[in-house]
Amino acid sequence: MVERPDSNRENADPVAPPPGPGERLRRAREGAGLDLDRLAAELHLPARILEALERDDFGSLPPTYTQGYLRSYAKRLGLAVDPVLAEYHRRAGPVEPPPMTAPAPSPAQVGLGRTRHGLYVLFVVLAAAVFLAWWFRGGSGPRPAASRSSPPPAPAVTSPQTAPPIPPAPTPVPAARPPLPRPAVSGAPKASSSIASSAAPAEQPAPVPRAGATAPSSAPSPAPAPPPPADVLVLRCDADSWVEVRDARGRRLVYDLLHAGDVRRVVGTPPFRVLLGNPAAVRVEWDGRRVPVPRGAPGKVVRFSVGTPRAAAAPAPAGGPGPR
Amino acid sequence: MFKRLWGIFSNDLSIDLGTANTLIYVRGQGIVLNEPSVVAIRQDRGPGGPRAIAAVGIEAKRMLGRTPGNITAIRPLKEGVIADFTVTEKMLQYFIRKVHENKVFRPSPRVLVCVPCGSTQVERRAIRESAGGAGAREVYLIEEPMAAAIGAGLPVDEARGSMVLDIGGGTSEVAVISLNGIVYSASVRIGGDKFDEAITNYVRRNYGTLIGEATAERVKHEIGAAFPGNEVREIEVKGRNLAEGVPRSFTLNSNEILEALQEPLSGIVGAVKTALEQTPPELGSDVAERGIVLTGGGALLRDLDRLLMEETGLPVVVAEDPLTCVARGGGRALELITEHGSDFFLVD
Repeated sequence: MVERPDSNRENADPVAPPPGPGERLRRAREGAGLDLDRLAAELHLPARILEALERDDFGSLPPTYTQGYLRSYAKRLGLAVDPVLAEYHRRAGPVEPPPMTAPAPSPAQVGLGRTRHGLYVLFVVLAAAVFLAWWFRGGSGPRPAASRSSPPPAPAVTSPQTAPPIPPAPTPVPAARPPLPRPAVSGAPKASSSIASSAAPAEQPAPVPRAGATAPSSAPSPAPAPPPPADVLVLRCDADSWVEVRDARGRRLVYDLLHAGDVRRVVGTPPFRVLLGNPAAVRVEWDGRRVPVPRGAPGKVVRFSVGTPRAAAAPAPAGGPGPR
Repeated sequence: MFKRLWGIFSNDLSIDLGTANTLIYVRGQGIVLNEPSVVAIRQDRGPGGPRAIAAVGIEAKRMLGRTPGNITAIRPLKEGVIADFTVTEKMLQYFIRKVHENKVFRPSPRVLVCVPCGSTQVERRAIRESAGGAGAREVYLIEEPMAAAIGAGLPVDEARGSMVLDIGGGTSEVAVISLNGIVYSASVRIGGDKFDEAITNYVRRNYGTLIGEATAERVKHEIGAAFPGNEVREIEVKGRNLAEGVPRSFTLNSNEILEALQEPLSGIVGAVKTALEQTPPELGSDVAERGIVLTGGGALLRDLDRLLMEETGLPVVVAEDPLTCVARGGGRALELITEHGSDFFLVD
């Protein structure tokens, strides 16, 4: 079994798959002077299976059996089992063994009392909420800034101011998409009205200088590499109104509560998508011309787009001016 | 909704909750945990004091039989089923956490647990509840021989009988499987533990010396055999001499161990013979043609295949990596559930 004697008749394998264990087994058996039939009886296997193994003909047997037969055969002949199986694997292809991976050690102490289910449930619910928030934010496009200062309370403030203004010609707004701030707008108007009227002037001491300066500084700075002829959208407020403006690429340029007298200049790529919490109170100018603002019912939010896409600048789908 | 959300953070696990060892297979990763099913419990300040887990797994096994008064190292499973519900739950919880990579979220995997085929509804329910309490989102149960056959790579889906003998720590299960179903199955409460016990008893009887569980297991691993071989191997062990009351060292050889193991081995052989008797003739001829496949840690006992071969007159083969067959088979079953929704091999 160790020496390789003269070339046998079965060495003439032209396709040359790797040699199987059959040759080794046959030589070991012949070296020991054992008869195939006797061995077959000892191993309780049909002689034709042993013959097939010696011919490296593994047939249609599942590998589990083939390996087992080879193992018992090799053991009976006094051969080392591992080389035989290795030759079989080379011949028949790998029978991928499961990888043994060692896990990292973890804290050992586990109390034996009851687990605090409530705490875990709370934690999981919180985690789910955070995940959902992240999911929705992340899904709506790349965000320029990490987070604005407390956006949710702002829309609630607009609602008291929505009531007084002139009743406009009611052109109903088709509420196609339920927006994020909508529930807040119609949600808690009365409770916050007194707070809003008193808190707004106190906390926002600089609406006037800002209006005069028309500084774009509070608006997000223009994108680092936008097309050069950026368009300016001017928003003038006669009364407090929640305003959101997104440009063609979905960047949020304005997301703020504008106060009476505020003028906000927005630089970006048209078309802009504008959302006004109090449409009657906001005048929108684009390219120096006044853009008609669709009138909604009092207290209703309107959405519309302004501007036509530039040929090169805006690959986003164009939204014509008018309510959407 | 939440279940699906939790699923994002958790892998599916297949657990071979064995009397001796617990193995966990994770889809796509293979066997990630293989530890003894042993838990060490610390109880300070007297019998009424607070109980806490001191160690689980390998660490706890090292403590078996070597603990001071305030620590008890126990094996929460006996003969394949849960003997101590609370401790089993904690052990499972520890193991599931250990294989769970994401440390932020509490793991809530889908878990497939293998149960002995002889287990009662009550015992199955205990396992189900225990896995649920350990954090599993969903618990599936599969009979051990089925998982073992899948893991060993037997053609379980063919219309052809395959016989599998799974020798675990607490039970041995023999089953004939065809067309994804179990045609015959039987479970005997004999396994690796009974082998250890037999060795301990033999040594006490013949040497008047007491040896511990761990020593008996070491003897079994090193020189245990099920069939007389050509060479006689020896091992030196130390135990407490009952007459003198002091530790003494003595030598055991493989023939003595063979003699010691006769009783449990004959139980297993008897179960296999009964199975062959009960198998429908058509399937019996299939088994006779291809043979019996051995899985489980017990299959590693030297020359056990030889013994069964001589006793039954059938070819007997040991599966590749027999220790992990059940866990791997369970993992494969989980994949089948996920991919095809096929749950025909699950049990209630």
